[in-house]
Amino acid sequence: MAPAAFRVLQGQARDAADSDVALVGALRRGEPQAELAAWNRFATGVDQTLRRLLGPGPDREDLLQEVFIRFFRRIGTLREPAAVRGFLGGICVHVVRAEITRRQRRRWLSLTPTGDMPEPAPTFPDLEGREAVTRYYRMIDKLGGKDRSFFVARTIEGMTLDEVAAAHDVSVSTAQRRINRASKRVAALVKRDPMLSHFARARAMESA
Amino acid sequence: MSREADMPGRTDDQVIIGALSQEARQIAVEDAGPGPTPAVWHRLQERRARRSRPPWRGLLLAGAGMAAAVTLLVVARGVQRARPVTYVVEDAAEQDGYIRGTSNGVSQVRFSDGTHVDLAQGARVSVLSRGPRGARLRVEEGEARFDVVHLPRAAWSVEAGPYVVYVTGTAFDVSWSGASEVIEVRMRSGSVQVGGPLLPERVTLRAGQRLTAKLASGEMLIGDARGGAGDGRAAGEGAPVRTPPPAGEPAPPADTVAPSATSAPEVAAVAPAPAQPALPPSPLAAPVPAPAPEPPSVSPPPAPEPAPAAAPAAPSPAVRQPSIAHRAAPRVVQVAFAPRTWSAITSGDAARVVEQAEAHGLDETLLEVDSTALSALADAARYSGRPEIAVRALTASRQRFPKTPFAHAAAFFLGRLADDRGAVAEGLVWYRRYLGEMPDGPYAAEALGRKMLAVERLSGREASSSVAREYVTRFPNGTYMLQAHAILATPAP
Repeated sequence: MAPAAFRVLQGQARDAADSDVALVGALRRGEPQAELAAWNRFATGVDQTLRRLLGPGPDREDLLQEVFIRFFRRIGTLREPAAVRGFLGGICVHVVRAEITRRQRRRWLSLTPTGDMPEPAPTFPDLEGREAVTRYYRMIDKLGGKDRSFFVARTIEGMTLDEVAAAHDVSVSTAQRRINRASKRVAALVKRDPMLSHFARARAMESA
Repeated sequence: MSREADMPGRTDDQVIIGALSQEARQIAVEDAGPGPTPAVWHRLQERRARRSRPPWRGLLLAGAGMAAAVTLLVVARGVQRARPVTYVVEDAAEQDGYIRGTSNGVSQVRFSDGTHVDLAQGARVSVLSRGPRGARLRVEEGEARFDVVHLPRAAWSVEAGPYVVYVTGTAFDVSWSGASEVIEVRMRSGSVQVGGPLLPERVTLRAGQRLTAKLASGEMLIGDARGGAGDGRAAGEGAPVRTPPPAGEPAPPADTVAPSATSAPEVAAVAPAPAQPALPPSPLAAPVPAPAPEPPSVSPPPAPEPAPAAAPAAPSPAVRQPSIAHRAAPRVVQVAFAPRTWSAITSGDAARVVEQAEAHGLDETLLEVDSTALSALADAARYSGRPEIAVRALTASRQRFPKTPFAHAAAFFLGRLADDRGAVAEGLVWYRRYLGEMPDGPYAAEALGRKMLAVERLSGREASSSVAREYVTRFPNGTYMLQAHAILATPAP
């Protein structure tokens, strides 16, 4: 299918709404340009959230698209327009959780499901940090799908407890319990890895 | 207890997790780059359009009787689809799809849809698989003449060595010499696409054109099939190597290709061609078959490969990497950096290719292997997250094999690698170089888009407006249209 002819300008779209609340209103009214404006405003943030939740790896355009498909479909259910970013974060959590579950089911497949070549990760001088983060996510992946989702949302994505609970549709105490359990397990795994343990302590010392 | 654990209010576990999570956030920021391109938005819209088709609409429109009729039609079509084309062989020896032409030169394979293949004297062709809309054939050796009937959604492909000719309906000749690794595709009518080594992207050939590729020497020529020698052009010197047109759009006419200033001598390479000198002696280099003054029948013919169940995959709508050879040449020992290595890379084993290069010695490898191998190594390094090796391989490719398609493509990839690591100015230099060398090359749109963004970052939005204007004019459906329009929409101060 040929790409759709380009019709809208970014500059025009940006003017469609001045604030998140106004943008949500425009989306609910089905105003033209509103969806593109939402994309321009939120896509980069959602992309970064997905990266944090998933860990290092190739671009996952399909997940980014899935987030926005759900977002546009469910925008009418958003009760508090000012909380649109948290709303998007919750969708990200759900999409990533489904992706992790899918990956776990297909773990026996060593190749990419589509056969596409993975795009190379950009290079950065901090190779040690990159290696540590890769190992860190590998340990996080050992958590079950649910615990992983709670843990990553809280510790890496930096959601508040309330946000984590809301995103997972559980009570705050349940969220806290799951996060604590996952944290203990991840910490134990990290301590068993000398390189990772040393790296974490060194980084903590630097930032202290 | 560690010192960190003594920090007030934080346990040792929290300190460890906090530090690692902070690092993860940092890496995520670094990896994110400029964010999703507008192409993602376009694809999202397409995906939503597909989803938004109400599945119940057809049911509302169709009554019960209509549904029954449709069901019958679907079943009938299914039965029809399930029936693959059949063929008969005339005046040739055939066993399990392996067809050997006779010495009188009148051998023919006739398919049930009207397509027929004439085998030249001594030629050998395999029918690898058959489907309802076509078949997958392989020219094992010699020359074969194809007349493929143009039917809706016809899907034929012809393999010759590591090359694949994608056909819908046309007449053309293919010759392949396994001994000298030379392919020639000569068009009589219609058009085909050819993919394989030495071709950064699939090449569209039209009536009257001829493609000749010599794997051993890395030569690729596209010229006039009827005439002669005069207009053959080396691919590395501006030959009409182009990307496939977007689906649904006609390909540009052949005469839109800018003529090359430098003409390369025509290769009148009809198999068997003179053997090329062997590659430099590297333990990793591909073993080139020994020169074969005798007809290839001296060596045992390659066994027909088992026919896969499925037809060859449809071309990817967005090919970003150089085309990968879809099938190896007649099997030899699997070694690194031969064209055959593509299969190792595509199967996710790029890291092994890099490891082999390092085990042999990277410096030696970069000096010894041929251009195809260098390109393969660069790709393998990029795919396995070893950009420093990719840069070295790409640089070596440009130094050792200037004016080849690989060298030109290397300029673009060097720019992208530099850009990705934040060296925007360096990236800009490489994009400019690529666009200077290959203004209509397969990566021209991407290079121009990235150049536009680089100029904007380095010199400001106003400075990039001329590039944006050029981009909008040249690539009206390009992936950087959003940014280009945004730049142009910004009023000058």
